[in-house]
Amino acid sequence: MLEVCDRRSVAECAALVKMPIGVVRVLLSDLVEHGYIRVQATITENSSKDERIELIERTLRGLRTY
Amino acid sequence: MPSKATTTVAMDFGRLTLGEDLILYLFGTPGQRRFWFMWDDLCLGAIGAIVIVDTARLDESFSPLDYFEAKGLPFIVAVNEFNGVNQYTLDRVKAALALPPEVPIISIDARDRESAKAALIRVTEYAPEHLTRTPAGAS
Repeated sequence: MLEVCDRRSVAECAALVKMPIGVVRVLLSDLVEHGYIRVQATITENSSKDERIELIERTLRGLRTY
Repeated sequence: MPSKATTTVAMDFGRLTLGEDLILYLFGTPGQRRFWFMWDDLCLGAIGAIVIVDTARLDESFSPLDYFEAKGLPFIVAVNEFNGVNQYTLDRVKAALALPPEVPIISIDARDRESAKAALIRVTEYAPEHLTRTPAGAS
């Protein structure tokens, strides 16, 4: 799991290790608890407008130089 | 192809690493209504959508457009130029689709990297404009 999870979504990890997403979620949360991995923040329905705009602007800068 | 009897269905997926801690995920889904169940999940936390339309079957674009409008997700319309030229001007397509005036419409060659990138940039530019216009809490 540690090999595949670097900067990947939970869904991608599940696909790569060929395990159900629910199982992978549990395994990943155990790894987080033991300090092996860290969850990167992303926007959710609960994010504020400012958080969204900040992320969108960073994305835009990234796309322009891609 | 309006005359096709079957449709090959694929869910396209891509990721662009834009920075050390910034990855943009791209999802491509078919437009037919029976795939809407996938869209609900894809809309969560999404920056926006690009609705690619084919001028030969504009009528099929109405329901996806309605979907994103109802969701409140920022979207732009990209008219696919299959043979390098579009038969209709963007203004005419915009009028035919009865798009709200603020919705950007561009032409695109989806096979061309720079063209696809321009579409991504356009929707990402438009998303904050759309967000600042809609009331807080709407997503």
